[in-house]
Amino acid sequence: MPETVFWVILLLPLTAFVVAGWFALNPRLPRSVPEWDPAYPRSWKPIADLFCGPRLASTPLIIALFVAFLLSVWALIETIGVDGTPLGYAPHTLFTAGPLNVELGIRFDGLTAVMLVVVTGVSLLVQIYSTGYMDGDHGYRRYFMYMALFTTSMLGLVLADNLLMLFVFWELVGATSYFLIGFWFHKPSAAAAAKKAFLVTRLGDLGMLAALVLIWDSAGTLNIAEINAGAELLIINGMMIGQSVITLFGLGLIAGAIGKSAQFPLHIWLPDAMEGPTPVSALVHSATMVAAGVYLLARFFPVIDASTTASDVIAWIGAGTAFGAAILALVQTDIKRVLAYSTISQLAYMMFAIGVGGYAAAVFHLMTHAFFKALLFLGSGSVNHSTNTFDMRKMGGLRMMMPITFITFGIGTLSLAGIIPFSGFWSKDEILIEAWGQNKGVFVLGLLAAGLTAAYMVRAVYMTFLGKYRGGEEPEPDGHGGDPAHPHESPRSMTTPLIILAVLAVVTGFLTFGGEFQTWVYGALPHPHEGKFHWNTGIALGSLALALASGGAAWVFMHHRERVSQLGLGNIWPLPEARAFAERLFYLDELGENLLTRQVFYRGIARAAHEFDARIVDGVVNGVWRETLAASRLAPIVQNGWVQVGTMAIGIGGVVIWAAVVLF
Amino acid sequence: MDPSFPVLSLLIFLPLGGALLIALLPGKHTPTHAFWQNTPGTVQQQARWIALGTSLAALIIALVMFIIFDRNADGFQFVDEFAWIDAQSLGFNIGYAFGVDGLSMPLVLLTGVLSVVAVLVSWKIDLRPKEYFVWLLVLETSVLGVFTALDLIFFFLFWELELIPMFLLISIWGSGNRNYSAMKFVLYTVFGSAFMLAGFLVLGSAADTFDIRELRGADLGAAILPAQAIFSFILIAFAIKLPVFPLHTWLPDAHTDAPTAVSVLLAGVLLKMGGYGILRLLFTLMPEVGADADLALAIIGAVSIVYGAIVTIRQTDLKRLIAYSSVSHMGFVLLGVSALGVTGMSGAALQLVTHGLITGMLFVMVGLIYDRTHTRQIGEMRGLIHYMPLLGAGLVFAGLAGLGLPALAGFVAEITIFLGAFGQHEAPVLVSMLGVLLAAGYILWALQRSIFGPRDEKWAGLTDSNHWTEFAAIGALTALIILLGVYPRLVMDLLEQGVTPIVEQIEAVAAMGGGGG
Repeated sequence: MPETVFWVILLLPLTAFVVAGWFALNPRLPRSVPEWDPAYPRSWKPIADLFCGPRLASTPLIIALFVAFLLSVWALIETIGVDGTPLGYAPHTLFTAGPLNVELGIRFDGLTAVMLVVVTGVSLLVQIYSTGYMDGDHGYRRYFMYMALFTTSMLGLVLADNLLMLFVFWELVGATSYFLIGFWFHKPSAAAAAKKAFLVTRLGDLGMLAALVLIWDSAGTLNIAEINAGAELLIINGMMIGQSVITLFGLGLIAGAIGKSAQFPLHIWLPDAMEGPTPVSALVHSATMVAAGVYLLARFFPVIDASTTASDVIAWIGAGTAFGAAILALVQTDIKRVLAYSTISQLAYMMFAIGVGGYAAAVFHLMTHAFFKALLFLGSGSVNHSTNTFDMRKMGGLRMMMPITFITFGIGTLSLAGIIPFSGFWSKDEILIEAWGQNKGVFVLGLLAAGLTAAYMVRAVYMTFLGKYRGGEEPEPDGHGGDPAHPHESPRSMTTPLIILAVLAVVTGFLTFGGEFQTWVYGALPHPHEGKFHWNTGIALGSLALALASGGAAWVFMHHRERVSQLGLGNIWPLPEARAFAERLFYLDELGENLLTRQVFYRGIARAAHEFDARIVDGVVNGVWRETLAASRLAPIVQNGWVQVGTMAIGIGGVVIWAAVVLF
Repeated sequence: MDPSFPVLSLLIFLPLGGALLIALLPGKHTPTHAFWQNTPGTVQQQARWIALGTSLAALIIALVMFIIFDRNADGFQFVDEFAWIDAQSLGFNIGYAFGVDGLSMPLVLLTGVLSVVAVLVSWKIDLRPKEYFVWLLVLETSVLGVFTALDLIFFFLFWELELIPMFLLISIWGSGNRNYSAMKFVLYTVFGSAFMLAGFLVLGSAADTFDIRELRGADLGAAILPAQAIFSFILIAFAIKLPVFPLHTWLPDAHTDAPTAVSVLLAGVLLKMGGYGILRLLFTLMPEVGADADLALAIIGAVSIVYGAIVTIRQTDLKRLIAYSSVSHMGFVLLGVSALGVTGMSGAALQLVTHGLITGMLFVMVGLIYDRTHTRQIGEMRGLIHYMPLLGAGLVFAGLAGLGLPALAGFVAEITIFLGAFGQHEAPVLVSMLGVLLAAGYILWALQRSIFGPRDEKWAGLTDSNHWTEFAAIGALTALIILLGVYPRLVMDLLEQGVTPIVEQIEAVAAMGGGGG
C-alpha cells in the first residue's frame, strides 16, 4: 500500500489541530450555539449543531479521526495478507550535519498496525464522549486543539522508523499531556500536577536520550530495523558493538519507558495527573500515552531480549510495580485514583511480560487494556458528570439511576479483574503463562496482583454503584455539572462510546483463538518467532479462582461492613500500620517530591549554588572593582608632577616587560 | 546581482545611515511634517518609523543575500574590500574587508530579524525617543560589522563600537540598578577586549597581516608569544561575551536592568558574537591549539550548562531567570565546539541562531508583560493568563522552545550537539543532559507560579496584547522557531558549509603532527 496513506493518517489530526487552534485563538467567534431559526426544519438542528459555535473545533477532529481510523483498519487488514512483516518505505532525509543524517520515515508492520487501530479507535471514541463531557466548558475549543495535537504525536510515535523521530513524538506526547493535565490551570493542583508529570517523565527521558546518543555513536544508525536486526549478533549497521552497549542501550530505553508508563520509581506523576478532565485520563493515562512506554520496549524487544540484565531489570520492576500499585489501588477513596493505580499495575504486567520474553502477550494486553481501561475511565467521568465528585464515599446506589454506565462499567471491571470470557482474562493469562515459564518469582507477584485487582475493583464498584446514594457534591460556581441531588444517566454522546467500548472489552479477547494477532505482532520482529499463544489450564483456572475468591471476599467485606468491623479483624497488628503506610503511598511521593526535590535539591544544592554565585563568583568581581577604585585614589602619589618619578616608573616598567619577554 | 555591487557594505552601514537621519530630525518641541506625513508627527513617531524602515530594509537585504547565497561555493561571498591602511614600510597593513560565509550568513540574518523585533517592541518608548532609536541602529551596525569583518582590526573596532550604544541604552533607558549594570557590562567587556587586542596584535605582527583569510594556516612561529597564550588571550574575551562560568555575572545584571529591546539584542545577537568568534577566529586561525583545548572546553561547557541551570532555578525575577538560562544554553555552544567535528560544530552554530530566536522571544514576552504589570517578580504574577491569554500563550510557547521541546528550534541544536560531542567527550555530554531536565524544571515551575493559578482581581484592568507591533514581533518569532524546528535544513546546510573548512583544518593539523601544538 502507498506510503502516502500513513502520512495522511498522521496529517489528518494535525490539520484538525490547526483548525481547532484557529477557532480557539479567535476571540470573535461565538462561545455558544446560536438560537435555532424556526424558518428551518427542526430536524436539521442536530446536523447543523455540529458545524456552529464551539463544535467547529471538535467536529473536524472527529471527522479526521474517523477517516484515520478507517485507513488504519484498512492498513491492518492489508498486513494480515503479508504476515505483519514490515512494509519497507525508504526514509526521507530531513537534514544532515556531517555524518549525522536525520531522517523521517514510516515503519509499518503488524505492531504498528495494531497500535494505529487502537490509538485512532480509542481517541475517536474519547473525542465523541468529550463533546458531551466538555460541553459548556470555557476551554472547549482549546481542549480539542490539545487533543488533536496529542493524537497526532501519538500516531507519529508509533509510525516512526527511527529512534530520533520516535523521541521527537515521544516528547511531544509529553508536552501535550502537560497541557491536558493542566487544562484547568486555574486550579493550583492542576498546574502542579502538569509540571510534575512533565518533569518526572522527562527524568526517564534522559535515559532514552543517552541511549539514543550511545547507539548512534556506537553503530552510526538510529534506524529501528537496523538496530533490532543486529541486536542479537552484536553487529549493527556493519559495526561490531559490545554486549555492554546493548545492555546500556536497553537500560536507557527502559528508563524512558518507566517514566512514560509510570512504573516504580517514576510512577508518582500518574495519580496526580488525574487533575485533567476525565476523558483526558481515559485517553492519555490509560490507552495511549502511558502505553507508549510499553510500545517502546515492544518495538525494541530484540534489544531487550538480547540483554539478560535489561530483561531482568524490567521483569522485576514490572512485577514489583504490578503488586505495589494494586495495593495502593485498594486504599484509594477517589475513583479516578483507583483507576490510576490500576493503570500503573496493569502496565506493569505488560512490562514484566516483555522482561520474561512475552512480547506478543504484552502487546495483546496493551490492546485489551486500552479498551477496557478507557471504558472504566469514561464510566467514572459519566458518574462525575452527574454527581460532580470523584469521591466514592459520596457516591453509592447509582446502578438504578445510571444503568448504562453501571452495566458498561461492570463489563470493564470483569474484564480488568480477569474473569472469563472477558478480554482481560485472555491477555492477562497469556502474561502469567509466559512468566511461569521464565521466572517463578515474577509469576507469583503477578498472580497476587491479579487477586488484588479483583478485590479493588469490586470495592470500587460497590462503593460507586451499590448500596445507598450518599449525595454527591455541589458543582463549582462557574462549572458545568449536573444536579447532584438527582443523578441522571449521561447524554447519548457519552453513553454511546461506553457501549462500543464495552463490546470491544468483550470481543477483543477472542482474537487469541484465531492466531492472527500473534502473526501480526510476531511479524514485526526481525527473526521468525513461534506464532502461537500457549495454554495452561492450571494457571488459567488458578488465576480465575483467585480473582473470583478475592473479588467475592471484597464483596462480602463491603456488603457486611458493620459486622466485619465488629469482628475487629482490621485492628490486628500489623494491619492498621500497613493500611496507614499504603494510604501515605508508601511515602514514595514524599521521598521523591519533598525530600529529594524540595529539601535536598532546591533548599540544598540549588541554594548553595546560588549563594556561591552571588557571593563568590560575583563577589570577587565586585571586590576587584572596589579595590581598583580604591587604588586609583593613590594615583596622585605617582602623578604629582615630578618628572623623575614618572621617568623612574617608565624605566621599571620597561625592565619588567623586557624580563617577561626574555623569560618566555 | 552585479558581483561588484557593495551589497554587504550597504547592509552594514544602512542602520548607521538611519541613525544619522534620526539624529538630524528637528528637536522635540517642534512637531513638523516628515516627508511622508500629511499631518505633523511627533519626534517619537518620526524616529520610530525611520528606525523600522531602516531595520526592515536591512532585513530585506540580508534575506536577499541569504537566498542568493551560493550553497556550493567555498570561502567568503559578497566580499567588499580595499586596502585601508597600507603601511608596508612599517610592516603592517589593515584592509577594509567584509564578507560572509555559511557560518556568518545565518547570524547576519538573525541580526536583521531581531533588530526589527527590537524596534517593534520599542514602539512606545517616549523617553528621549530620538536618541534611543539612534543608538539602537548604531548597535545593529556594530553587530553586523562583527559578524562580517574579515580583518582583525575591523573585527575589533566593531566589537568595541557596540559598547557605546549598549552603555547608553542600559544606563539611560534601563531600570533598577542600571548604572551599575551598564558599567559592569562595559568594564567586563573591555577587560576581555584588552586581552583580545593584545592577541590580535601579536597574531598580526607575526604574520604581517590582519586579514583572516590570509592568517588561516599562516606560520605563527615568529610570534612573540606562544600560540597557547594567544589562544587563551582571545578566548578570555569570547568567554566573557558568551558568557561561560565563571565569567558570567555581568549578564544577569545587564539583562535585568536593560530595556526590553536591548535584552532581546543582548541575548539574541551580542552573546552570539562570543560563540561566533570562537569558531571564526580561534578554531580557524589556531586549529592545533583548539584541538588540544577540546577537553577543557567541553568541561567548561558542561559546567556552565548544569551550574547555570541550577542557579536559574533559584531566581525570583522572571527576566533574571531567563538571563541565567542563557548561561546554561551558551554552555551548549562550547560543548558542541569541543566535539571538533562537523556535527558538533554545526550544532553549536545552530544553537547560536536558535537561542537568539528563543531567548529573544522570551525577553519580548516578559517585556510586554512587564509593560502592563510593572512587576517581574515571579511570585506576584499569579493568574495573569486569565487576563492576557495571548501574551501568556506566547510565554508558554517560548518557554517550551527554551526547554528544548522537539519540533521547535532549540531541540534540533541540542540533540545535534549531543550526538556530535558524545564520541569525543562522553562524560561531559552525559552531565550536560541534566541541563535538559533542569531547563524543564525552571521553565515549567516559573510558568506555574507566574501566569497560571487562580484569577487575581488586581490584574482585572490590564489588556492583552493589542497592538500590531506586538503581534508582528510575536508572530514572526513564533513562525521562525517552528520553521527551524521542523525544517532545520534552511540554515543547517549553510552552517554545515561554514564549519566544514574549520573541521578540515583541524583534521589536517591532527593528521600532520598528531595534534601537538
